[in-house]
Amino acid sequence: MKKIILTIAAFFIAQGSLLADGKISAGITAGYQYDTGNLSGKSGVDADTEQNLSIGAAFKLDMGFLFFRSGCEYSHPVEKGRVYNRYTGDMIETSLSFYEVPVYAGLNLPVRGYGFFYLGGGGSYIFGTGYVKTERKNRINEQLFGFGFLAGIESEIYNDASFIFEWEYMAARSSPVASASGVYDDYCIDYTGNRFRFGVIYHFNRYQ
Amino acid sequence: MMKIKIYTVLILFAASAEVFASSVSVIFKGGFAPEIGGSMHTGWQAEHLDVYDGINDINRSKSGIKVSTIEKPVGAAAGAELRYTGDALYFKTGADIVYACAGGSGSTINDFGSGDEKVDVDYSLWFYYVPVTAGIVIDYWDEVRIFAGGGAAYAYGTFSSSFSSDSIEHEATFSGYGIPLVAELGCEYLLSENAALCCGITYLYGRSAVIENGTDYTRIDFSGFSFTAGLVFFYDFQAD
Repeated sequence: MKKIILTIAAFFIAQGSLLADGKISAGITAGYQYDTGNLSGKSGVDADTEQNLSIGAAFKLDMGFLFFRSGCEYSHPVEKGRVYNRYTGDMIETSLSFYEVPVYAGLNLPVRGYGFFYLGGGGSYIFGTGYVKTERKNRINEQLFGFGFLAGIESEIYNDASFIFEWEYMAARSSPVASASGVYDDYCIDYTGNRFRFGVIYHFNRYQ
Repeated sequence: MMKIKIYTVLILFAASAEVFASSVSVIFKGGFAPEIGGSMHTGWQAEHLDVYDGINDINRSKSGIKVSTIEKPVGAAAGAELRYTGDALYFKTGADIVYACAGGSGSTINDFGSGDEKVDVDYSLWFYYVPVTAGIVIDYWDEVRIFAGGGAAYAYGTFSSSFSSDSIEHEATFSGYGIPLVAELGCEYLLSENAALCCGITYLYGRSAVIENGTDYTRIDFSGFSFTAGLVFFYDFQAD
C-alpha cells in the first residue's frame, strides 16, 4: 500500500514538471491537535487529554485540478496527558512529540473570487519522540505510517502568497512502548486524530 | 404518529426536489478507510485474555518472546450512488462496501496458567451500507461543486476474530446490522457537460446490537471515516 502511495506521489510530481500551468508553493504552518494519544478514547480510563501545538514547513504542488501536498511538521505538547486509574495504582503521564511528513494528493478546485478548495487522500509518516512516564520515563522512538485524508482552503493574500487552512485526519498506532499493567509492555501510542493547521504559502512560479 | 412524521418528511423532500431539481447523477467511487471496526471488543477476549478494549488493548510484548504488532485494519472502500442535485440541495442513496484489506493480524502474549505464551491474533471485518443522505450543494461557475450533508444508513457486516496459541484455540464469526448516522463532505470538478471527477469524505457513526455466537459476543462497529474518489456521470434536466 505504501508503495502504491509513493508511486502515485511520484506520478503527481512528474506530472507537475510536465504541466506548464503547474504551481509550486511553499510556506510555513502552525497547527493544533486535541487529545494527542487518544486518552479520552480509551475504554474505562479517566484521563486529562494531551494537547499539542505544531509548527512546520508546507510544500504544495498544484497541477490544474490536482494537487500534491507534503512538508514537515514538528508537534509538541503544551498540555501533557495524564491517566489516573491504572491497574497498578500509579499515574501514567504522556508527553508525545513527533515529526510528521504528510503525503497527500487529490482534487484542487478553483473557487473563483475566493481561492481554492482541496480535498485529498494519502497518509503521513510519523517519527515519534517524547516519553510515557510510568514508574520510570519510557522514551519513545517510533517510526510509523498512517493513512488519512486532508481537506483545506487556500485564499489569496496578494498575487504571490496565499493563506491556507487545513483539516487532516490520520490513523496510526505504535507498538507497545511502556507497561500500564505492570506485567507486560502493553501501552501503545495512538497518534490517530484530527489536526488543524493554518499557514501562509508563497507561489514560486505562478505567472511563469 | 411516527408514520405521519415520516410521510411529512418524505413529502417535503419530494416537494423541494421538484422545486430545485436540475440533474440526476450516477457516481462510481473507490478509496480507503484509514481504520475500521472500532475497538473490536469481544466477550471472549475479556474473559480469557483480560483484554477489555479489544484491539486497543491487545498488543503486549516482553523480552524473550517475539511478537508482531496488531495494527488496526485499514479498509478498501468502493461504492455506486445515485444523486438528485438541485440548485441548492441534493438527495443521495446507493450502496457502498468496506473491506478490511490490511492490518488486523499479528501476535501478543498471554498467560493461560502455564506461563507466558505467544498468541496469534486475527481480526477481520467487512460491511456494506445503504446511505440515505441530503444536504447542501454549492455551485461555482458551473465548474466546481462542493457538497456537505448527512443522513443515516442501513449497514450489514460480518466480523470475525481468531486466537490461537499452544494451549488455546478460539474463533468466532458475527454477522449483524446497524443504522449508523452518516456525515459527508465532497467536491466535484466538472470535466464536461455530463461527467465530473469527484472526491469525498464520509463518516459513519453507529454500532450493531450485541451479537452472540455461543459463549462469545460482540457489537459490530461501523464507525469511521472513509475517503473516496471517482467519476460522476449526470443528466441535466434543465439543459433540455
